[in-house]
Amino acid sequence: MKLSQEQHEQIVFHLQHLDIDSQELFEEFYDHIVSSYEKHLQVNPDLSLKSHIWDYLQPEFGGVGGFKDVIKKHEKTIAWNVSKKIVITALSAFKGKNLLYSAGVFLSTWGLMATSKNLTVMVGLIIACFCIPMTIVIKKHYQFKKSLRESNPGYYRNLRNGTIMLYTTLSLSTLYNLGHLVSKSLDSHAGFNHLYTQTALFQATLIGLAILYCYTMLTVMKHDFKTKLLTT
Amino acid sequence: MSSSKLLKGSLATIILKLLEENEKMYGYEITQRVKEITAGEFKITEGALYPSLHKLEAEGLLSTETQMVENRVRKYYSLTKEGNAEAHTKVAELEDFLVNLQKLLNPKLGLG
Repeated sequence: MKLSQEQHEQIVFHLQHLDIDSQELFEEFYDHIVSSYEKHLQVNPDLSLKSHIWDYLQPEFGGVGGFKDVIKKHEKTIAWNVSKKIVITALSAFKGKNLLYSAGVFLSTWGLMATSKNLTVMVGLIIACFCIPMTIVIKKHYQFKKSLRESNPGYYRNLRNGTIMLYTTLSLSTLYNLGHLVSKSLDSHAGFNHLYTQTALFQATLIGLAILYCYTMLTVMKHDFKTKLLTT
Repeated sequence: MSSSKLLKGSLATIILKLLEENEKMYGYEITQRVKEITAGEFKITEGALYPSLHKLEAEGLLSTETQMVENRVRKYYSLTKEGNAEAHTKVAELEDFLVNLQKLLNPKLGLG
């Protein structure tokens, strides 16, 4: 069924009124409303979309509270799902053929730190590993927003994108706190100072963790971050 | 007691079973299929259906794909390999449960 502009606006208004502003729920409920309306029109051709929404669909969802409950549960599910994917992706670096690559990367950084004995190399690599995913996520986010502006679908965000972005930008504060912790420990603990400045294995471990973080976030972004909307 | 209360605990099994029989389905289609099969006796409310679908998807039992249908996006759900195995297990569990429930509600039939 082809909706008129007025009917489209009625659905958009209704969904926005219910605070459904994420792509995932908006698209799914929009289709649900239209499918349901089509079906009811077969029985009652004079049925208006407005009364169908308010008199039939709203109670089916359990009223405004029912919608809010679905939104809340969906947000929780997405956050849990993205976290789970991040953990699974990180662990995949130690499985099968990937273990060989991981070992190769670790041995290379260990060798690099043992020969260069240069802390700037370590700090530079760690900062790069934290900044690369953040730069890419910002670029992808911009592409998504541009796509939203072009098609103006009625929603403003994508929950999955938002969660990935949160994990990626959190890295900045993590890096800041880590740096703060390291500099404090360097001053107060001679043992740690030695470990940090002289032990190539420890330095390689820190770089390895940063590379693992970078690999994980880039992989999750590649598969789950939406930049374009589906259009005809 | 309304059937919706009894249905609540079996909703995931019903969804998995329907998707086992149909390659892919969308939300509204699932509600209509249940209504159709049970001649309107069972009614899945949307407020219960969607959280259940999203949870099954997050657990990796369902996969999704989106398609443009008459100028709007439609989200289809289908079973993953794990979902297929889970559907068999859940249906078997529910059947066992119903047999035992029958024995409790109608002990004479159970002894016979």
